[in-house]
Amino acid sequence: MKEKTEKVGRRRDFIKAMGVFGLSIGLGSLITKKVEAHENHFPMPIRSNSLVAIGSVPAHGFHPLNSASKSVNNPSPRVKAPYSQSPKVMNPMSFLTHFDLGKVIDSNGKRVREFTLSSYPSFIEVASKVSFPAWTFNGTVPGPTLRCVEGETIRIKFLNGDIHPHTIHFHGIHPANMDGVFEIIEPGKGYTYEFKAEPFGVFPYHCHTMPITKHIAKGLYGTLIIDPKEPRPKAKEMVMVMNGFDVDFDGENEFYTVNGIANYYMDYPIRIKLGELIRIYLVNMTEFDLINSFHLHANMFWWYPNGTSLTPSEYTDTVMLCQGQRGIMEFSYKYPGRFLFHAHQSEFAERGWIGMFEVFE
Amino acid sequence: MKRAISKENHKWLRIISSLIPLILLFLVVYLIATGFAIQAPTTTLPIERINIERIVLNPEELVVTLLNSGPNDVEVAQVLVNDAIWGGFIEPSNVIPRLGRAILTIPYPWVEGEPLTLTIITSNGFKFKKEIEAAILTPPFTFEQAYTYILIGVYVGIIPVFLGEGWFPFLRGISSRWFRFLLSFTAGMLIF
Repeated sequence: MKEKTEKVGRRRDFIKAMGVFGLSIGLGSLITKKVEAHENHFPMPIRSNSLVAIGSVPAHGFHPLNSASKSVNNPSPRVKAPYSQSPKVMNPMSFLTHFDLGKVIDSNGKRVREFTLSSYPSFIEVASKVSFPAWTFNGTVPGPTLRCVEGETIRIKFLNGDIHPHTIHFHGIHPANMDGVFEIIEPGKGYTYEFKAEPFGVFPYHCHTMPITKHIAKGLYGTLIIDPKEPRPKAKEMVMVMNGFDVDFDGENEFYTVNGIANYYMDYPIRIKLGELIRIYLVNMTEFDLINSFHLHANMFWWYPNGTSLTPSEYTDTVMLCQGQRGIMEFSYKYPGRFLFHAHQSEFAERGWIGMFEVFE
Repeated sequence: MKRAISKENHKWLRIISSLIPLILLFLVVYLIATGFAIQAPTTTLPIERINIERIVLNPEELVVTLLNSGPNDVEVAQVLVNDAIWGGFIEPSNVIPRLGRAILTIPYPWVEGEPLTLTIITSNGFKFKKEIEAAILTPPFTFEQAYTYILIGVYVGIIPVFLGEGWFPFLRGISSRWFRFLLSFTAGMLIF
Protein backbone atom coordinates (compact mmCIF):
# COMPACT_ATOMS: atom_id res chain seq x y z
CA MET A 1 0.00 0.00 0.00
CA LYS A 2 2.77 2.31 0.96
CA GLU A 3 4.59 1.39 -2.19
CA LYS A 4 1.58 2.26 -4.32
CA THR A 5 1.15 5.74 -2.87
CA GLU A 6 4.80 6.33 -3.38
CA LYS A 7 4.46 5.42 -7.02
CA VAL A 8 1.45 7.72 -7.41
CA GLY A 9 3.45 10.43 -5.71
CA ARG A 10 6.30 9.96 -8.15
CA ARG A 11 3.92 10.10 -11.07
CA ARG A 12 2.42 13.34 -9.79
CA ASP A 13 5.87 14.81 -9.42
CA PHE A 14 6.63 13.83 -12.99
CA ILE A 15 3.47 15.45 -14.33
CA LYS A 16 4.24 18.58 -12.34
CA ALA A 17 7.77 18.62 -13.65
CA MET A 18 6.52 18.22 -17.22
CA GLY A 19 4.17 21.14 -16.75
CA VAL A 20 6.94 23.35 -15.40
CA PHE A 21 9.24 22.27 -18.21
CA GLY A 22 6.61 23.07 -20.88
CA LEU A 23 5.80 26.40 -19.26
CA SER A 24 9.44 27.42 -19.17
CA ILE A 25 9.85 26.53 -22.84
CA GLY A 26 6.74 28.51 -23.72
CA LEU A 27 7.95 31.56 -21.79
CA GLY A 28 11.43 31.18 -23.22
CA SER A 29 10.13 31.13 -26.76
CA LEU A 30 8.05 34.26 -26.11
CA ILE A 31 11.10 36.10 -24.83
CA THR A 32 13.42 34.97 -27.58
CA LYS A 33 10.86 35.46 -30.36
CA LYS A 34 11.56 39.16 -30.77
CA VAL A 35 15.31 38.69 -30.73
CA GLU A 36 15.26 35.97 -33.37
CA ALA A 37 12.63 37.54 -35.63
CA HIS A 38 14.90 39.71 -37.77
CA GLU A 39 17.72 37.19 -37.81
CA ASN A 40 16.36 34.94 -40.59
CA HIS A 41 19.84 33.78 -41.42
CA PHE A 42 21.24 30.33 -40.85
CA PRO A 43 24.35 30.60 -38.68
CA MET A 44 27.43 30.61 -40.88
CA PRO A 45 29.90 27.77 -40.54
CA ILE A 46 33.00 28.77 -38.61
CA ARG A 47 35.45 30.33 -41.01
CA SER A 48 38.89 28.91 -40.58
CA ASN A 49 42.11 30.08 -42.16
CA SER A 50 41.99 27.15 -44.55
CA LEU A 51 39.33 28.66 -46.81
CA VAL A 52 39.99 27.54 -50.37
CA ALA A 53 38.53 29.31 -53.41
CA ILE A 54 37.03 26.88 -55.87
CA GLY A 55 35.59 27.08 -59.39
CA SER A 56 35.02 30.41 -61.11
CA VAL A 57 32.33 32.82 -60.13
CA PRO A 58 31.77 34.87 -63.31
CA ALA A 59 34.31 37.68 -63.63
CA HIS A 60 31.69 40.01 -65.10
CA GLY A 61 28.06 40.92 -64.56
CA PHE A 62 27.83 39.47 -61.07
CA HIS A 63 28.15 41.14 -57.73
CA PRO A 64 27.42 39.15 -54.56
CA LEU A 65 25.51 41.87 -52.73
CA ASN A 66 24.26 40.34 -49.48
CA SER A 67 26.34 37.23 -49.63
CA ALA A 68 28.11 36.18 -46.49
CA SER A 69 31.27 35.77 -48.58
CA LYS A 70 31.48 39.56 -48.36
CA SER A 71 33.00 38.89 -44.99
CA VAL A 72 35.84 37.09 -46.71
CA ASN A 73 38.61 39.17 -48.24
CA ASN A 74 37.92 38.01 -51.79
CA PRO A 75 34.35 38.99 -52.67
CA SER A 76 34.26 36.92 -55.84
CA PRO A 77 35.97 33.53 -55.62
CA ARG A 78 37.59 32.82 -58.93
CA VAL A 79 40.24 30.26 -59.65
CA LYS A 80 42.06 31.21 -62.86
CA ALA A 81 41.94 28.86 -65.81
CA PRO A 82 45.09 26.71 -66.09
CA TYR A 83 47.74 28.40 -68.20
CA SER A 84 48.23 25.35 -70.41
CA GLN A 85 46.63 21.94 -70.83
CA SER A 86 49.72 20.24 -69.46
CA PRO A 87 53.12 21.67 -68.54
CA LYS A 88 54.85 20.29 -71.62
CA VAL A 89 52.48 21.52 -74.31
CA MET A 90 51.61 24.81 -75.96
CA ASN A 91 49.21 27.09 -74.07
CA PRO A 92 46.06 28.46 -75.75
CA MET A 93 47.59 31.94 -75.92
CA SER A 94 50.46 30.84 -78.13
CA PHE A 95 48.23 28.31 -79.89
CA LEU A 96 46.02 31.27 -80.93
CA THR A 97 48.66 32.79 -83.20
CA HIS A 98 50.81 29.77 -83.96
CA PHE A 99 50.64 28.35 -87.47
CA ASP A 100 52.60 25.23 -88.31
CA LEU A 101 54.11 26.04 -91.72
CA GLY A 102 55.75 22.63 -91.97
CA LYS A 103 59.05 22.13 -93.73
CA VAL A 104 59.49 22.90 -97.42
CA ILE A 105 61.57 20.15 -99.02
CA ASP A 106 62.64 19.26 -102.50
CA SER A 107 61.33 15.78 -103.29
CA ASN A 108 62.53 14.52 -106.71
CA GLY A 109 62.45 18.02 -108.14
CA LYS A 110 58.99 18.61 -106.66
CA ARG A 111 58.41 21.26 -103.98
CA VAL A 112 56.65 19.59 -101.06
CA ARG A 113 55.51 21.04 -97.74
CA GLU A 114 55.94 18.39 -95.07
CA PHE A 115 54.19 18.12 -91.68
CA THR A 116 54.43 15.53 -88.92
CA LEU A 117 51.45 14.54 -86.81
CA SER A 118 51.48 11.91 -84.08
CA SER A 119 48.48 10.66 -82.17
CA TYR A 120 48.95 9.72 -78.53
CA PRO A 121 46.96 9.77 -75.29
CA SER A 122 47.51 12.53 -72.77
CA PHE A 123 45.92 13.78 -69.56
CA ILE A 124 45.08 17.41 -70.19
CA GLU A 125 43.57 20.07 -67.94
CA VAL A 126 40.45 21.42 -69.66
CA ALA A 127 39.19 23.63 -66.81
CA SER A 128 40.74 24.63 -63.51
CA LYS A 129 41.77 21.38 -61.75
CA VAL A 130 39.70 19.18 -64.12
CA SER A 131 41.76 16.52 -65.84
CA PHE A 132 40.57 14.84 -69.05
CA PRO A 133 42.05 11.64 -70.53
CA ALA A 134 42.36 12.91 -74.11
CA TRP A 135 43.51 11.41 -77.40
CA THR A 136 45.63 14.09 -79.04
CA PHE A 137 47.44 15.08 -82.20
CA ASN A 138 50.89 16.23 -80.99
CA GLY A 139 49.79 16.50 -77.34
CA THR A 140 47.11 19.21 -77.46
CA VAL A 141 43.38 19.47 -78.07
CA PRO A 142 42.83 20.93 -80.62
CA GLY A 143 45.79 19.65 -82.62
CA PRO A 144 48.26 21.95 -84.41
CA THR A 145 47.10 24.41 -87.05
CA LEU A 146 48.67 23.36 -90.36
CA ARG A 147 49.12 26.06 -92.97
CA CYS A 148 50.07 25.98 -96.64
CA VAL A 149 49.43 27.76 -99.94
CA GLU A 150 46.93 26.72 -102.58
CA GLY A 151 48.46 24.48 -105.27
CA GLU A 152 51.33 23.26 -103.11
CA THR A 153 51.82 19.55 -102.57
CA ILE A 154 51.46 18.81 -98.87
CA ARG A 155 52.73 15.68 -97.18
CA ILE A 156 51.52 14.77 -93.70
CA LYS A 157 53.57 12.05 -92.03
CA PHE A 158 51.24 10.42 -89.52
CA LEU A 159 52.41 8.16 -86.74
CA ASN A 160 49.91 6.43 -84.48
CA GLY A 161 51.42 6.27 -81.00
CA ASP A 162 48.16 5.38 -79.30
CA ILE A 163 46.88 1.93 -78.31
CA HIS A 164 43.78 2.50 -80.52
CA PRO A 165 43.68 2.62 -84.32
CA HIS A 166 43.31 6.12 -85.82
CA THR A 167 43.33 8.00 -89.14
CA ILE A 168 43.47 11.61 -90.29
CA HIS A 169 40.60 12.71 -92.46
CA PHE A 170 41.14 16.09 -94.12
CA HIS A 171 38.36 18.21 -95.56
CA GLY A 172 39.09 19.57 -99.05
CA ILE A 173 39.77 17.98 -102.45
CA HIS A 174 42.08 14.92 -102.66
CA PRO A 175 42.27 11.28 -103.90
CA ALA A 176 40.27 8.54 -102.18
CA ASN A 177 43.26 6.87 -100.47
CA MET A 178 44.26 10.25 -98.99
CA ASP A 179 40.85 10.75 -97.34
CA GLY A 180 41.76 8.93 -94.13
CA VAL A 181 38.67 6.73 -93.99
CA PHE A 182 39.37 3.22 -95.30
CA GLU A 183 43.08 3.04 -94.44
CA ILE A 184 42.89 2.51 -90.69
CA ILE A 185 46.28 3.04 -89.07
CA GLU A 186 46.96 0.46 -86.38
CA PRO A 187 48.80 1.33 -83.15
CA GLY A 188 52.50 1.80 -83.75
CA LYS A 189 52.01 2.11 -87.52
CA GLY A 190 52.24 5.18 -89.74
CA TYR A 191 50.81 6.56 -92.98
CA THR A 192 51.78 9.40 -95.28
CA TYR A 193 49.02 11.56 -96.65
CA GLU A 194 50.09 13.49 -99.74
CA PHE A 195 47.90 15.65 -101.95
CA LYS A 196 47.68 18.97 -103.73
CA ALA A 197 46.29 21.65 -101.42
CA GLU A 198 43.06 22.86 -102.95
CA PRO A 199 40.92 24.93 -102.85
CA PHE A 200 42.03 27.81 -100.61
CA GLY A 201 40.05 28.18 -97.40
CA VAL A 202 39.89 26.92 -93.84
CA PHE A 203 39.32 23.19 -93.21
CA PRO A 204 39.04 20.94 -90.22
CA TYR A 205 40.95 17.68 -90.02
CA HIS A 206 39.98 14.88 -87.67
CA CYS A 207 40.23 11.17 -86.98
CA HIS A 208 37.63 9.18 -88.91
CA THR A 209 37.88 5.82 -87.12
CA MET A 210 34.67 4.31 -85.80
CA PRO A 211 33.13 5.02 -83.36
CA ILE A 212 33.77 8.48 -84.73
CA THR A 213 31.85 10.30 -81.95
CA LYS A 214 34.29 8.88 -79.41
CA HIS A 215 37.37 9.70 -81.52
CA ILE A 216 36.30 13.32 -81.96
CA ALA A 217 35.00 13.80 -78.40
CA LYS A 218 38.36 12.53 -77.14
CA GLY A 219 40.11 15.35 -79.00
CA LEU A 220 41.49 14.13 -82.35
CA TYR A 221 40.99 17.21 -84.53
CA GLY A 222 42.64 20.38 -85.73
CA THR A 223 42.69 23.02 -88.45
CA LEU A 224 44.19 23.14 -91.94
CA ILE A 225 44.48 26.58 -93.55
CA ILE A 226 45.11 26.80 -97.29
CA ASP A 227 46.06 30.36 -98.22
CA PRO A 228 45.15 31.78 -101.60
CA LYS A 229 48.13 32.23 -104.00
CA GLU A 230 47.57 35.96 -103.76
CA PRO A 231 47.77 36.46 -99.96
CA ARG A 232 44.92 38.09 -98.05
CA PRO A 233 45.52 41.66 -96.76
CA LYS A 234 47.97 41.93 -93.87
CA ALA A 235 46.24 41.39 -90.53
CA LYS A 236 46.79 40.02 -87.04
CA GLU A 237 45.71 36.44 -87.53
CA MET A 238 44.30 33.99 -85.00
CA VAL A 239 42.83 30.54 -85.02
CA MET A 240 39.92 29.61 -82.78
CA VAL A 241 38.64 26.06 -82.58
CA MET A 242 35.36 25.77 -80.70
CA ASN A 243 34.93 22.49 -78.86
CA GLY A 244 33.46 20.77 -75.82
CA PHE A 245 34.69 18.25 -73.27
CA ASP A 246 32.57 15.43 -71.89
CA VAL A 247 34.63 14.80 -68.76
CA ASP A 248 32.35 12.11 -67.29
CA PHE A 249 31.64 10.38 -70.63
CA ASP A 250 27.85 10.54 -70.35
CA GLY A 251 27.39 11.77 -73.93
CA GLU A 252 27.07 15.46 -73.14
CA ASN A 253 29.67 18.16 -72.69
CA GLU A 254 30.43 19.55 -69.26
CA PHE A 255 32.76 22.25 -70.55
CA TYR A 256 32.87 24.32 -73.74
CA THR A 257 36.02 26.08 -74.85
CA VAL A 258 37.86 27.85 -77.62
CA ASN A 259 41.29 26.32 -78.08
CA GLY A 260 40.93 23.79 -75.29
CA ILE A 261 40.59 25.41 -71.85
CA ALA A 262 37.33 26.68 -70.36
CA ASN A 263 37.29 30.42 -69.56
CA TYR A 264 40.88 30.74 -70.81
CA TYR A 265 40.63 34.03 -72.71
CA MET A 266 38.50 35.43 -69.88
CA ASP A 267 41.37 34.99 -67.44
CA TYR A 268 44.05 35.78 -70.05
CA PRO A 269 42.45 38.39 -72.36
CA ILE A 270 43.67 38.70 -75.94
CA ARG A 271 45.37 42.06 -76.37
CA ILE A 272 44.77 43.74 -79.72
CA LYS A 273 45.66 47.17 -81.12
CA LEU A 274 43.00 49.79 -81.73
CA GLY A 275 42.07 49.91 -85.41
CA GLU A 276 44.24 46.91 -86.31
CA LEU A 277 42.70 44.44 -88.76
CA ILE A 278 42.00 41.14 -86.99
CA ARG A 279 41.45 37.92 -88.94
CA ILE A 280 40.12 34.87 -87.11
CA TYR A 281 40.02 31.40 -88.61
CA LEU A 282 37.02 29.92 -86.80
CA VAL A 283 36.29 26.18 -86.77
CA ASN A 284 33.51 24.34 -84.93
CA MET A 285 34.58 20.87 -83.75
CA THR A 286 32.04 20.60 -80.90
CA GLU A 287 30.77 17.04 -80.46
CA PHE A 288 27.30 16.07 -79.11
CA ASP A 289 25.80 19.55 -79.56
CA LEU A 290 24.48 20.21 -83.05
CA ILE A 291 25.55 23.82 -83.29
CA ASN A 292 27.89 26.34 -81.77
CA SER A 293 28.17 30.07 -82.36
CA PHE A 294 30.44 33.08 -82.11
CA HIS A 295 29.26 36.48 -80.93
CA LEU A 296 31.47 39.58 -80.92
CA HIS A 297 30.70 42.43 -78.52
CA ALA A 298 30.40 46.09 -79.47
CA ASN A 299 31.51 45.41 -83.02
CA MET A 300 30.60 43.84 -86.37
CA PHE A 301 32.67 41.50 -88.51
CA TRP A 302 32.91 40.45 -92.14
CA TRP A 303 32.15 36.76 -92.53
CA TYR A 304 33.77 34.54 -95.19
CA PRO A 305 32.04 31.10 -94.98
CA ASN A 306 34.67 28.31 -95.28
CA GLY A 307 37.16 31.01 -96.36
CA THR A 308 36.74 29.80 -99.93
CA SER A 309 35.95 33.25 -101.32
CA LEU A 310 37.74 36.57 -101.01
CA THR A 311 34.41 38.37 -100.89
CA PRO A 312 32.58 38.27 -97.56
CA SER A 313 29.01 37.05 -97.52
CA GLU A 314 27.80 38.82 -94.41
CA TYR A 315 28.42 41.74 -92.08
CA THR A 316 27.28 40.57 -88.69
CA ASP A 317 28.11 40.23 -84.99
CA THR A 318 26.93 36.64 -84.56
CA VAL A 319 27.54 33.55 -86.64
CA MET A 320 26.13 30.07 -86.16
CA LEU A 321 28.11 26.96 -87.11
CA CYS A 322 27.07 23.31 -87.39
CA GLN A 323 29.48 20.49 -86.40
CA GLY A 324 32.47 20.72 -88.76
CA GLN A 325 31.43 24.10 -90.19
CA ARG A 326 33.96 26.94 -90.29
CA GLY A 327 34.85 30.31 -91.78
CA ILE A 328 37.00 33.42 -91.56
CA MET A 329 36.01 36.62 -89.77
CA GLU A 330 37.59 40.05 -90.17
CA PHE A 331 37.13 43.12 -87.98
CA SER A 332 38.89 45.97 -86.23
CA TYR A 333 37.94 47.82 -83.03
CA LYS A 334 36.83 51.43 -83.13
CA TYR A 335 36.99 51.97 -79.35
CA PRO A 336 39.54 50.90 -76.75
CA GLY A 337 38.55 48.84 -73.73
CA ARG A 338 37.53 45.34 -72.80
CA PHE A 339 35.11 43.48 -75.07
CA LEU A 340 33.65 40.02 -74.63
CA PHE A 341 33.34 37.34 -77.29
CA HIS A 342 31.46 34.12 -76.63
CA ALA A 343 28.97 31.57 -77.88
CA HIS A 344 25.57 33.19 -78.04
CA GLN A 345 24.11 30.02 -76.56
CA SER A 346 24.28 31.37 -73.01
CA GLU A 347 24.60 27.82 -71.69
CA PHE A 348 27.88 27.33 -73.62
CA ALA A 349 29.16 30.74 -72.54
CA GLU A 350 28.46 29.93 -68.91
CA ARG A 351 30.27 26.61 -69.25
CA GLY A 352 33.54 28.13 -70.41
CA TRP A 353 33.14 29.32 -74.04
CA ILE A 354 33.73 32.98 -73.24
CA GLY A 355 36.68 35.28 -73.69
CA MET A 356 37.76 38.87 -73.82
CA PHE A 357 39.59 41.21 -76.17
CA GLU A 358 41.56 43.98 -74.52
CA VAL A 359 41.82 46.77 -77.08
CA PHE A 360 44.64 49.19 -76.38
CA GLU A 361 45.67 52.42 -78.12
CA MET B 1 31.66 -46.34 -11.46
CA LYS B 2 32.50 -47.15 -15.04
CA ARG B 3 29.19 -45.72 -16.15
CA ALA B 4 29.80 -42.52 -14.25
CA ILE B 5 33.12 -41.99 -16.05
CA SER B 6 31.57 -42.50 -19.45
CA LYS B 7 28.89 -39.96 -18.55
CA GLU B 8 31.63 -37.50 -17.60
CA ASN B 9 33.38 -38.18 -20.93
CA HIS B 10 30.13 -37.67 -22.76
CA LYS B 11 29.75 -34.24 -21.17
CA TRP B 12 33.26 -33.18 -22.26
CA LEU B 13 32.68 -34.45 -25.78
CA ARG B 14 29.57 -32.32 -26.02
CA ILE B 15 31.43 -29.21 -24.90
CA ILE B 16 34.24 -29.86 -27.38
CA SER B 17 31.85 -30.58 -30.25
CA SER B 18 30.09 -27.29 -29.54
CA LEU B 19 33.42 -25.45 -29.65
CA ILE B 20 34.78 -26.95 -32.88
CA PRO B 21 32.46 -25.02 -35.26
CA LEU B 22 33.22 -21.81 -33.37
CA ILE B 23 36.96 -22.37 -33.72
CA LEU B 24 36.53 -23.09 -37.42
CA LEU B 25 34.44 -19.93 -37.80
CA PHE B 26 37.19 -17.84 -36.20
CA LEU B 27 39.69 -19.49 -38.52
CA VAL B 28 37.62 -18.63 -41.62
CA VAL B 29 37.11 -15.04 -40.44
CA TYR B 30 40.85 -14.76 -39.84
CA LEU B 31 41.65 -16.10 -43.31
CA ILE B 32 39.23 -13.69 -44.99
CA ALA B 33 40.47 -10.74 -42.93
CA THR B 34 44.11 -11.46 -43.74
CA GLY B 35 43.29 -11.88 -47.42
CA PHE B 36 44.64 -15.42 -47.51
CA ALA B 37 41.45 -17.08 -48.64
CA ILE B 38 40.15 -14.45 -51.07
CA GLN B 39 42.16 -11.90 -53.02
CA ALA B 40 39.84 -8.87 -53.40
CA PRO B 41 39.71 -7.72 -57.05
CA THR B 42 41.58 -4.44 -57.41
CA THR B 43 41.28 -1.77 -60.09
CA THR B 44 43.51 1.11 -61.06
CA LEU B 45 40.50 3.16 -62.16
CA PRO B 46 39.59 5.92 -59.73
CA ILE B 47 36.25 5.42 -58.00
CA GLU B 48 34.90 8.56 -56.44
CA ARG B 49 31.71 9.31 -54.59
CA ILE B 50 30.57 12.55 -53.03
CA ASN B 51 27.31 12.90 -51.13
CA ILE B 52 25.78 16.35 -51.23
CA GLU B 53 24.36 16.03 -47.74
CA ARG B 54 22.74 19.36 -47.16
CA ILE B 55 22.17 22.65 -48.98
CA VAL B 56 21.33 25.61 -46.77
CA LEU B 57 19.90 28.59 -48.62
CA ASN B 58 20.87 31.95 -47.17
CA PRO B 59 20.15 35.28 -48.83
CA GLU B 60 22.33 35.39 -51.98
CA GLU B 61 24.25 32.33 -50.85
CA LEU B 62 24.26 28.52 -50.68
CA VAL B 63 26.06 26.63 -47.93
CA VAL B 64 26.64 23.02 -48.94
CA THR B 65 27.86 20.10 -46.84
CA LEU B 66 29.82 17.49 -48.79
CA LEU B 67 30.74 13.99 -47.63
CA ASN B 68 33.31 11.82 -49.37
CA SER B 69 31.78 8.36 -49.11
CA GLY B 70 34.06 6.80 -51.71
CA PRO B 71 37.13 4.64 -51.13
CA ASN B 72 39.72 7.33 -52.01
CA ASP B 73 40.47 10.99 -51.35
CA VAL B 74 38.57 13.30 -53.69
CA GLU B 75 39.59 16.68 -55.10
CA VAL B 76 36.64 18.97 -55.74
CA ALA B 77 37.53 20.87 -58.91
CA GLN B 78 34.49 22.73 -60.21
CA VAL B 79 31.05 23.79 -59.03
CA LEU B 80 28.13 24.25 -61.41
CA VAL B 81 24.93 25.98 -60.31
CA ASN B 82 21.98 25.56 -62.67
CA ASP B 83 24.43 24.08 -65.21
CA ALA B 84 26.67 27.19 -65.27
CA ILE B 85 30.29 27.21 -64.08
CA TRP B 86 30.19 28.89 -60.71
CA GLY B 87 32.43 28.97 -57.66
CA GLY B 88 32.79 29.57 -53.98
CA PHE B 89 34.88 28.82 -50.95
CA ILE B 90 35.46 25.38 -49.56
CA GLU B 91 36.77 24.54 -46.13
CA PRO B 92 38.85 23.05 -44.69
CA SER B 93 40.21 21.96 -48.09
CA ASN B 94 39.10 21.14 -51.63
CA VAL B 95 40.71 17.73 -51.16
CA ILE B 96 38.28 15.74 -49.04
CA PRO B 97 39.75 12.67 -47.34
CA ARG B 98 37.90 9.38 -47.31
CA LEU B 99 34.81 9.74 -45.08
CA GLY B 100 35.73 13.39 -44.54
CA ARG B 101 33.46 16.37 -44.90
CA ALA B 102 33.81 19.85 -46.41
CA ILE B 103 31.65 22.94 -46.31
CA LEU B 104 31.21 24.81 -49.56
CA THR B 105 29.95 28.40 -49.51
CA ILE B 106 28.69 29.65 -52.86
CA PRO B 107 27.61 33.25 -53.46
CA TYR B 108 24.61 32.89 -55.76
CA PRO B 109 21.57 35.09 -56.50
CA TRP B 110 19.03 32.25 -56.32
CA VAL B 111 15.37 32.88 -57.08
CA GLU B 112 12.75 31.97 -54.50
CA GLY B 113 10.34 29.23 -55.49
CA GLU B 114 12.37 28.12 -58.53
CA PRO B 115 14.32 24.88 -58.85
CA LEU B 116 18.04 24.90 -58.22
CA THR B 117 20.58 22.34 -59.38
CA LEU B 118 24.02 21.97 -57.85
CA THR B 119 26.71 19.96 -59.63
CA ILE B 120 30.10 19.07 -58.18
CA ILE B 121 32.83 18.00 -60.63
CA THR B 122 35.94 16.30 -59.28
CA SER B 123 39.45 16.49 -60.69
CA ASN B 124 38.92 13.10 -62.35
CA GLY B 125 35.76 14.31 -64.08
CA PHE B 126 33.22 12.63 -61.81
CA LYS B 127 29.95 14.50 -61.58
CA PHE B 128 27.57 14.64 -58.60
CA LYS B 129 24.25 16.41 -58.82
CA LYS B 130 21.63 17.52 -56.35
CA GLU B 131 18.39 19.22 -57.22
CA ILE B 132 16.26 21.44 -55.01
CA GLU B 133 12.71 21.39 -56.36
CA ALA B 134 11.82 24.85 -55.11
CA ALA B 135 14.34 27.13 -53.46
CA ILE B 136 13.24 28.71 -50.19
CA LEU B 137 15.16 30.32 -47.37
CA THR B 138 16.28 27.63 -44.91
CA PRO B 139 14.25 28.21 -41.71
CA PRO B 140 16.51 29.46 -38.93
CA PHE B 141 16.69 27.76 -35.53
CA THR B 142 14.30 29.38 -33.05
CA PHE B 143 13.07 28.36 -29.61
CA GLU B 144 9.56 28.62 -30.99
CA GLN B 145 10.42 25.89 -33.47
CA ALA B 146 12.07 23.79 -30.77
CA TYR B 147 8.93 24.19 -28.64
CA THR B 148 6.80 22.94 -31.55
CA TYR B 149 8.99 19.86 -31.91
CA ILE B 150 8.86 19.23 -28.14
CA LEU B 151 5.05 19.48 -28.28
CA ILE B 152 4.99 16.94 -31.14
CA GLY B 153 7.14 14.66 -28.99
CA VAL B 154 4.74 15.04 -26.05
CA TYR B 155 1.72 14.28 -28.24
CA VAL B 156 3.31 11.26 -29.88
CA GLY B 157 5.44 9.81 -27.10
CA ILE B 158 4.04 10.78 -23.72
CA ILE B 159 0.28 11.38 -23.95
CA PRO B 160 -0.49 7.93 -25.51
CA VAL B 161 1.32 6.25 -22.60
CA PHE B 162 -0.83 8.13 -20.09
CA LEU B 163 -3.96 7.20 -22.05
CA GLY B 164 -2.85 3.57 -22.10
CA GLU B 165 -2.31 3.55 -18.36
CA GLY B 166 -5.87 4.76 -17.93
CA TRP B 167 -6.90 1.41 -19.34
CA PHE B 168 -5.16 -0.55 -16.59
CA PRO B 169 -8.14 -0.94 -14.19
CA PHE B 170 -10.22 -2.34 -17.06
CA LEU B 171 -7.43 -4.73 -18.12
CA ARG B 172 -7.14 -6.08 -14.61
CA GLY B 173 -10.75 -7.19 -14.83
CA ILE B 174 -10.58 -9.26 -18.03
CA SER B 175 -9.75 -12.95 -18.30
CA SER B 176 -6.13 -14.01 -18.68
CA ARG B 177 -6.90 -15.39 -22.21
CA TRP B 178 -8.04 -12.00 -23.45
CA PHE B 179 -5.23 -10.33 -21.58
CA ARG B 180 -2.68 -12.55 -23.40
CA PHE B 181 -4.41 -11.86 -26.70
CA LEU B 182 -4.22 -8.11 -26.19
CA LEU B 183 -0.61 -8.35 -25.05
CA SER B 184 0.47 -10.40 -28.09
CA PHE B 185 -1.55 -8.09 -30.37
CA THR B 186 0.30 -5.10 -28.90
CA ALA B 187 3.66 -6.84 -29.28
CA GLY B 188 2.83 -7.68 -32.92
CA MET B 189 1.85 -4.09 -33.62
CA LEU B 190 5.06 -2.82 -32.07
CA ILE B 191 7.17 -5.21 -34.15
CA PHE B 192 5.25 -4.19 -37.27
